[in-house]
Amino acid sequence: MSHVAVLIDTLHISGIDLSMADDSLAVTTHPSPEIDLLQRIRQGETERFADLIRRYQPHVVRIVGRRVPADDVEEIVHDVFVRAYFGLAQFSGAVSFDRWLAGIAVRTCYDFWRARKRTELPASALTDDHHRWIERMLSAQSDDQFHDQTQKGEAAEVLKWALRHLSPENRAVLTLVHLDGYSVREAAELLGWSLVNVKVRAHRARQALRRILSHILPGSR
Amino acid sequence: MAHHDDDIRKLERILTESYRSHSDRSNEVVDVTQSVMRDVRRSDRERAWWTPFLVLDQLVWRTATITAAVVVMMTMLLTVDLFRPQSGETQSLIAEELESVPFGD
Repeated sequence: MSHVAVLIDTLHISGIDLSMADDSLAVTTHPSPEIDLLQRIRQGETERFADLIRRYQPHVVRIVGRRVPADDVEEIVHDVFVRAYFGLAQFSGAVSFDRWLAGIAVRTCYDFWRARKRTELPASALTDDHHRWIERMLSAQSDDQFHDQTQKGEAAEVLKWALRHLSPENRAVLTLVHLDGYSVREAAELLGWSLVNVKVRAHRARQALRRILSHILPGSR
Repeated sequence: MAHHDDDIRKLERILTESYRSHSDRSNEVVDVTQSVMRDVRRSDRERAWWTPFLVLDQLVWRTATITAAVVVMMTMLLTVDLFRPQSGETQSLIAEELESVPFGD
């Protein structure tokens, strides 16, 4: 197991600089007061669950806020806590409560995109403003110019546009591995999928994203 | 082609950095405590109401399973029993026939 994990981590998808890993899923160490709290909730003190929500709500909002449209964040966060409540019996303590909750949040967001994929109309096309931004970005010469372009709203919109063209599976893996910067092993744990599945998905998702981006480059239209 | 790949890599890099630098909703005030607790309480109430029926349901199924098992066993026993007298009768008839012919006569 450890050899496979090390090998996969070593083969970690190359190309994108992953040094700035997102910390939204990072484990914040509490002095484990939740063990006692969880036990009380399991024994029937339902009202104590409100304390857990208040404590972990910012953590869940950070994760969900990056994965679903702004208008849906509240609903998804609500679903995450309801799922957590009914899944408390399955929490063994093998991982920290933060990480366990992060897994539920990631999977709830994945379910959100699966449901939306079935009902939603195809994503709208990019505007001329977006295409002009891409041209400016590609012609940026210095690092400062390049950095300025990342701060533009167009960057976030183009990314959202591109992600909407991915399947929910590819989107979930690409977000975790390539954008958040998590290892394949960590992504597999959070999604509850096998290592091999996530590794293959990560590769395919990256290829799919590159294909999508290649269509919006100047000269491709 | 190489130029095209460079452009894609550049675009990927800028989108990744943009993703990491935008924490749009991180500081957004979202409070779901009330709504979650309302759902949790309602669900607990429903669960409490349904529990006796669930126990009854389980009891009915278990009783039905045990009854079915007993019926199968009884049927098997009866089937075996049904064939036994016939073979027993044949054996006793042969025995009687052999006994009626003494050796040496």
